[in-house]
Amino acid sequence: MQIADCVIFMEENQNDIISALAEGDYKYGFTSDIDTEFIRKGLDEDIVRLISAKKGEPEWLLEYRLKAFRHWQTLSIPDWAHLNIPPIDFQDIIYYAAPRKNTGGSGNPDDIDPELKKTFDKLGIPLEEQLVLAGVAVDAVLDSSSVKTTFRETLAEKGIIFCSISEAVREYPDLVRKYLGTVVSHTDNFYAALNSAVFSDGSFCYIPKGVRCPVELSTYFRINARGTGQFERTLLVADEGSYVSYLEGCTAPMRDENQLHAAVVEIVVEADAEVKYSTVQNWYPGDKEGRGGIYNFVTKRGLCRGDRSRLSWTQVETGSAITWKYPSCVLQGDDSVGEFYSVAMTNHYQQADTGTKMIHLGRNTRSRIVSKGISAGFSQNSYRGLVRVAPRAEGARNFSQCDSLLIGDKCGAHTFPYMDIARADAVVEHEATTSKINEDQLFYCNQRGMSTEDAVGMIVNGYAREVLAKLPMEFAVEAQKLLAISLEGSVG
Amino acid sequence: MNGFQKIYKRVALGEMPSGVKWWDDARHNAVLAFGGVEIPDSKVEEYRRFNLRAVIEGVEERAEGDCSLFESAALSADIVVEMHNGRVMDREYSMLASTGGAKEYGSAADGSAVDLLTTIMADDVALVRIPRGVQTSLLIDSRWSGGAHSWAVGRVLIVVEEGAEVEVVELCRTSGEVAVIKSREIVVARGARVKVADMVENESGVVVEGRYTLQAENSTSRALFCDLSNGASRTNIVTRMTGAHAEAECDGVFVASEGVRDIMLDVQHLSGDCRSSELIKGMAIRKAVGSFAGRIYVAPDAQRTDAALLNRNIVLSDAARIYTKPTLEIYADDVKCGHGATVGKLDPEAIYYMRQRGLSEQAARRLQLVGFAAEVVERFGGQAAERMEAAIEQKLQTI
Amino acid sequence: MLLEVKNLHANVAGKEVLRGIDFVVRPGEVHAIMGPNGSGKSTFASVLAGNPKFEVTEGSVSYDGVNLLDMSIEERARRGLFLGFQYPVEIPGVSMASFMKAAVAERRKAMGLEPLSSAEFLKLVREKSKIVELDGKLISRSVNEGFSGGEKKKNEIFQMAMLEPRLAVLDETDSGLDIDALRIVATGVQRLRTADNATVVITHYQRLLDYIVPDFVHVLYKGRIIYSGDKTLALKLEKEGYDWLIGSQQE
Repeated sequence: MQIADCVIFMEENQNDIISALAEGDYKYGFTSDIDTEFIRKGLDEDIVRLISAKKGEPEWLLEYRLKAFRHWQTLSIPDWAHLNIPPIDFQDIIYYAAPRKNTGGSGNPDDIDPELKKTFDKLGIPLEEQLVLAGVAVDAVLDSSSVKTTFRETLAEKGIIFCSISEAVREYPDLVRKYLGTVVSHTDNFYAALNSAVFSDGSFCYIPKGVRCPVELSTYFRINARGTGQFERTLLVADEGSYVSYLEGCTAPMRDENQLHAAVVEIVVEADAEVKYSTVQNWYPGDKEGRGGIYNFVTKRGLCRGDRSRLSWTQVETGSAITWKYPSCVLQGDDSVGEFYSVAMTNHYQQADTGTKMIHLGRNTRSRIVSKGISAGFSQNSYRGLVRVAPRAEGARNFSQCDSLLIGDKCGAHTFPYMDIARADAVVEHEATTSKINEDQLFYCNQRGMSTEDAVGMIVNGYAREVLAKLPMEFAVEAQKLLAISLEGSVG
Repeated sequence: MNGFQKIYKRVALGEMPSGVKWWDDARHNAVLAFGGVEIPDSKVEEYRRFNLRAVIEGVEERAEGDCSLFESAALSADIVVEMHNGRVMDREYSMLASTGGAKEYGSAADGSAVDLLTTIMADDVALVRIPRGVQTSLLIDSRWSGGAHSWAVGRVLIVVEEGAEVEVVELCRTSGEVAVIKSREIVVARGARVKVADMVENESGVVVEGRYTLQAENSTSRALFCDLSNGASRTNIVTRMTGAHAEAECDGVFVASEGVRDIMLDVQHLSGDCRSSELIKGMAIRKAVGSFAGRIYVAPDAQRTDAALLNRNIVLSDAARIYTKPTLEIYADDVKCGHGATVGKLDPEAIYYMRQRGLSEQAARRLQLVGFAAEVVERFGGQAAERMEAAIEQKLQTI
Repeated sequence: MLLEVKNLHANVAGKEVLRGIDFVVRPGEVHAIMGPNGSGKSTFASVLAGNPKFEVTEGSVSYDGVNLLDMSIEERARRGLFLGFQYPVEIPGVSMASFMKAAVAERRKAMGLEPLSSAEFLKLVREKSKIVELDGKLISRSVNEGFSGGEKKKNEIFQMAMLEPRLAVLDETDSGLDIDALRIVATGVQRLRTADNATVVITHYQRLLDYIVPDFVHVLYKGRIIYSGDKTLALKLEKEGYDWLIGSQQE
């Protein structure tokens, strides 16, 4: 699916939100005044109840939120990562924002932030879509009902459910209740607890037994991802024998007034099923001095519950002022397989502490980790990973390769791999190297007429190739361009 | 308050002057610094597998066992320094026998709890100074003996002056359940060379040890440790290279068989153009826990660094555990740094091959294990290596 | 009879590979087993050695009148069954010296002989390494580590010379060897022949059999011996391939 199609869906779905809200307003007797004016800043039990009420949630979900909130109150902010995080005042955040009503923009390209426009142009995004992505488009620009119908029908035919979590709670409460919180418990960590209490919206995806999802599912295809992304909650369930490839993220810089993004993604993979979850994240990294960027603190975990289940995480992280995430796999089923492929790039004053956890519980489980870090500017980039082989995990095997590339001498690259092994028959191998760009390669490219900047871009792409190859094709092309752009200013 | 704490308090209040001014000053400074350092327990990540605070809080009186009952070390050297529960037997090598002190004292150490505690609590410090250009060998025969809940502290300073060369062997032996806390600093001056072999034979005690090395430019250090004993141990090895063209190699082999074996290795490249390499091999048998945390740190201007760390482990029973965490913290870019860690099992193909040549499965496993451990020791050579190889063979007979 | 195999069936990973092999070897004989890839030649060798990856489902193997299948891998070896591996494994850190010392000691014990002193052992090493023109220094190297293909095969024959087996099963000992190495390996094997021992040579190519002249040549195809003849059979197979034989087989 092309980006153009994505944009079409965003448009359509925004209209959905408006109508849903209008209904909601009426149903609960809130007036629009209260909606827009009186949600105060701060977080306490009343706010949690308010959020749940505004979304029209059933009692069980409210209880879940409250349990999480009460637990969150007992926790203190974690600070063990190799990150310098300015203090966050949790009482200085508005925890419920009405989804953006599309009041329409000017439709004028000049109103697009110039930095953003340069990026869009480089990525080859057509002007119409740029207007939408920048929030500057005029209401209902495109007529696309036919396209939308076709797509939704294709999925519905196969029994595939793909909608927002809020919608899923209404339409498929039993499914949601069965799985929500089973992979990432609200007690898991500080930000997971916070998210469980105040999550705004996110994706729900269910693939029935034996079904192979015919398209790559993307967050574009459901109700508007932006504006509700601050505490996003995603739940993806692949029932026995199914397959889905899911894309999250966007290659265009995602700006948001909210600085803190604490999302939770839970994935359940039943027997013989396979899930590929790809993320190309380009949250706004802040300006060259490191101000104003987004803090991306995410808890992502997949449970390979059934025998022979497979989960593969692929991520390309180039944005965010601070990235803190460890997409993980719990390999519970026998013969289950977990994979993690990552390219994490930091430039200017960005910081990243990212990696994965592979927990081997079942028999004959396998995991593979390939992490490529690229540091430039004044940034700090850390890989942090855990491979744990539990006492019953007979025949576990793991292979990890974590490399770091340094561009310039003012940045740092760090590797913190943890291996906890409790079996005599486990085979665990970890290798890491840190180096800078090979000068012979640079000279060779220069001598063939390439600018150093272009050469570095090419070399970096080659370095990241093994990971980029795991992305669905369209994403891979965008990701390559993204890497090149993110390197800007790092050379010379 | 336990016995350890009582003495600490008295030292802190100046109630236990040694009569040697520089020493009292050093202890006083350590007490001040210690105010800011806590004795770590298992909640601190660095000490997750070894609760140091519990060890310190579990002791009562000073160890009083008879260290003359140990067999002779059967190792020869030009200089022999014998220490009984921390006391330096030959006064020529005791820092407290002279009033002058040594300006290098404390320069190689890292200001950690182990370092400061040994300064505060020791009542004797061994000093061996190798003068400029001299080539010699040194044996430190470190003996500890005491019953349950007893403790002893020891501290050693070895200064290797410019261009000097020394081969050091330290044999640390314990008898009884004594808790030993010791630190050793080796200050390596410009162009000097040090070879150090550490053997720990500790059957029922607990040994907490800091081994600190500070290297100036063009110096070389080559270290090897071997710890196969049943007692628990925590070993902190910190090597800092502050001058260009220094080289540090640190290899080791350990078997965790009863108590926990917890090793922390920190190699810091504080200057450019230095090279380091470490090969650490571990085995965990029965219900033991083997833990290794190794860090390579490269400071912001330490360009043209070449650093490599390799940790290989074998878990031999399903009740044993290996925790390994090799880390890299790199702040310079023109570097070549790598690390690898494996946790594996014996090669079943190799065992089949050996059985086809008539060896029993057990004999085949033993041969492989001996080969696994011996690789580290063979590269080092010398009489210490011979003793280590014999100890390895003997230990692996029991597996 | 040194070796008597009756109706041997064996599986690997649940798949049947040996489908009823009958095979007899008497002292002093040399047998060659040939056949296309995948016919089960290596499997047969592995089953005789006792490789746990393979499961015998039917049949019997008697070695010197005793049930071979009941014996562990090392017991078979100590009684003089030697397998020359097709892909000898590397064992870093274990020296040839310690390895061979232990193996020779076990063999001698089984034969009722006194163990060798270190000096006697080294003398034996020097003597036997000459048979395959291997450097005596190999004894201080780790087992097969860093050995070239040819050196690995020569090392197998060196070990055979040191252990003096009664029945040597050589699994594609000639694969990957150049002409000179082949000559050395083959001549070595030939020199170790006595009236009391026997050799089973598994090979693809006729050329090895120019040096190790077989008394019997068997063709193994899809887990069964489908044809046996004398050394001229090998020449015919070299010239005409296996088709003429296989074509006449019922499946």
